Amino acid sequence: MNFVSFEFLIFFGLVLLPYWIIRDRRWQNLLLLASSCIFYGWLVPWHVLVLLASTLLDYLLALGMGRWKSGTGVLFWTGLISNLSLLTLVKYYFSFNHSLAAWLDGIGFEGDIFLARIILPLGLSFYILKKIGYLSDVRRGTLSPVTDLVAFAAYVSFFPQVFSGPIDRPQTLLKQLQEPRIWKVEHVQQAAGLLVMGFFKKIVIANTVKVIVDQIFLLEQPSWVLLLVGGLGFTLQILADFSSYTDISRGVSFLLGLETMENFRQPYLALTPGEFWNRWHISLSSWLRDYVFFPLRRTLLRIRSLPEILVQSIPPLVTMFISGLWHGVGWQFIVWGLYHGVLIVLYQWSGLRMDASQMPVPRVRLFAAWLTMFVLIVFGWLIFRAPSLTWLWNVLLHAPLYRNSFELTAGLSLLSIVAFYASLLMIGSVIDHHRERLTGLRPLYYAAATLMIIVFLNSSSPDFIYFQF
Amino acid sequence: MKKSPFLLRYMVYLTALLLLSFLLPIRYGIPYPKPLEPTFKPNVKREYGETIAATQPGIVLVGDSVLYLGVDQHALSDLLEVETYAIGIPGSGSAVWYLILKNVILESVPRPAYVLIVFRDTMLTVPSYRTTGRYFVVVDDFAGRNEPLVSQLAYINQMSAVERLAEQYFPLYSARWEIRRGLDHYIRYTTPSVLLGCTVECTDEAINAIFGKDRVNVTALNQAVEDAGRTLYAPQVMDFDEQVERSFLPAMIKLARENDITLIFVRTRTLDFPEAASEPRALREYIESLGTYLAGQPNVYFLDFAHHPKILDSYFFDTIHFTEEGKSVFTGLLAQELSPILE
Repeated sequence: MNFVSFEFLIFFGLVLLPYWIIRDRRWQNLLLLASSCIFYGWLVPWHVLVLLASTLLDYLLALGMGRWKSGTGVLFWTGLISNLSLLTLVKYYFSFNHSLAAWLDGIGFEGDIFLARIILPLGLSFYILKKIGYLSDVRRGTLSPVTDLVAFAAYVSFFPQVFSGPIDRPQTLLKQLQEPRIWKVEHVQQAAGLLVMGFFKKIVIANTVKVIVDQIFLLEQPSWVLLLVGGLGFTLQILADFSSYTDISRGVSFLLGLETMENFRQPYLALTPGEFWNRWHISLSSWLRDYVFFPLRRTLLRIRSLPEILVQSIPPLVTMFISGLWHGVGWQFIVWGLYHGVLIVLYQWSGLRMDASQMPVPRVRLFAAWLTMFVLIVFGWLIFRAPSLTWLWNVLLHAPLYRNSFELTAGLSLLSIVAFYASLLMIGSVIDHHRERLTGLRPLYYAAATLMIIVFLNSSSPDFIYFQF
Repeated sequence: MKKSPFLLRYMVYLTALLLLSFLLPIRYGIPYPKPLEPTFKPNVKREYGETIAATQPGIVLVGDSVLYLGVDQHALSDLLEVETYAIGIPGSGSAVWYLILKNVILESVPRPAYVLIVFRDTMLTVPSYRTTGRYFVVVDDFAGRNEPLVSQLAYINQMSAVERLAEQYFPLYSARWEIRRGLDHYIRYTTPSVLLGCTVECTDEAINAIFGKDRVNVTALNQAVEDAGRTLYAPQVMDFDEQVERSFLPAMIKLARENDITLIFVRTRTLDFPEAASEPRALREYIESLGTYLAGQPNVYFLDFAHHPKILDSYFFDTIHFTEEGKSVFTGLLAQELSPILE
């Protein structure tokens, strides 16, 4: 089930009312679990079985770790391997294996590639990271294993997060699920703002800009001008799209009396590679930092013979490599991840310091740092969005700046569309940033955004390239 | 419960703006309450009817870009020794084909004896496919002022109860196309006009030249085609019995029968499902049901080229369109299959 659908509004309304009527947290958790199963299994019901079976296994393994101290390591590795196997099997093996249809035929399923796609459980990457984090924390002793199976399953399958995060930690979300929930006006206020912005970013901005971006990346060899427009467009689209889901997810959670973590904090204002990852997909970045980067770094520091340069470089490179793998199947995601890893390492080596907490930095230098970082981010998104690495390589090496006046005109026209929708987002950010001073303007902006959502609803941009054929 | 200032102000502004939106019907000349059916221009595009009248073809072929790029009408005429005329409208679906049959073919004198509808998979029974957004222009080209069946099947039946209410009584929603068109127009054309002195036509020409067929990456295009066609393979769409009575298919057959026209439905091949084994079971069952349904209709034929062994993968430039070589081969095969029907 999609957040941006009429079905979801009805579904959520049907969950919300009994949720606040019953009040008892155990029944509320049971309702959350049941509704999460319906939400998750809406398209393919048996996906729920994969989710519940793997959740039950991790629940039992964590309980075992709590009771059988000497077997903690074995149980942890069993959980880790089972989760990673499931993730690898689904995300990589199935995606690469075009003969899956034949295999399915062999075991009695009607084989076809559509079916092959449908049987891949969505959202697996998100809930598996939640479970691995939980097992790691139990193993380290920073978290006691949960005995309440319903609360744990509700945490893993929590419907506002199950498809696209944020990857909330057990210390925050699971803890809240084990406590009574209180209806607060502040939650409603927070939810209203988040829901409006979430739908606004998705329906008005992301869906509209996507059309332009798709058109440009369909070209055999766009000029640099068009590539730049496509890159800027995708930079806007991916932020609006991804953060919209987080906003809606957080808004829905607030209405359920649960506070979930922020996932994006104006990432394109970052001045350094590290800062970008502290602002972009924060729940994933912090997960990778805590469960990959730090443990790896600690391990390397123990190896005294290892040169300092390797101790400093390997952790970011490996972490960002894993981040790339997590984001998608294909070389371009691996290269995109490594690209960001290299940026972090180069920044460390450069000795530059641009942190806001450092002593005052001249404005010109700040601007130069921001611009450099922004260009590097946009280039990273080009790697991410290009149809293939060969395509990007070919465009960068062989395409001209622009071929004729047509390209300049088209580029300018499309750029103005991207700039217009970017400005809507920027105005929102400025107003939110100065919310204390702009108390009157903020509700007006949100009201106007609501109106735009209505206008853009069911009128998705008709400019589909394929129309020309 | 004490309301927070943000929520209160937000509600006040929203209410004020919503009240203001009731002026939109005046601004855009939309009646209030707005009728549910779309407003069509009164005139049907004349050029196709005029060509039929001038060339008097024995067979008229109707379809979308697959027909436009996939059948050589002159070669087909030569092979069949019958004058043929292909109306391949890019971006069209069954609503447009029904309108072409009703408003172009049946209105022309003399009428052709055979009408061939070229389609892919479930297109015949998805009445709303390619009817909204910019596709509406294509529907409008072939619609008269009153098209109750098209309005009902392609538009009204697709709306939920809430949408119907909003469409009629909520001006902001009912004027959404006009508002978006105005906004898009303003954003798209202003900058090229101010900076380059490029008019609307000049900007459109530039965009069309840049994003033309010849400059598109085939692999990426295939993905886009697949995404666009995904609505044709939704589980509910592949339930033939459920869909057929809500589609234009019975009306097309009825119109043809009443006017002594033989209808021939031609299913083309796509690379989405290159082999029969790779087709979803639901689609296979759908096609079987379609075949049975059409076999039960007098003067109706069904030709299925979806898994024809002589149509090779190399004959496609994307997942659905033929190359020039594919066009030539497909035209020949079509002529072979049509010959016994015409005898």
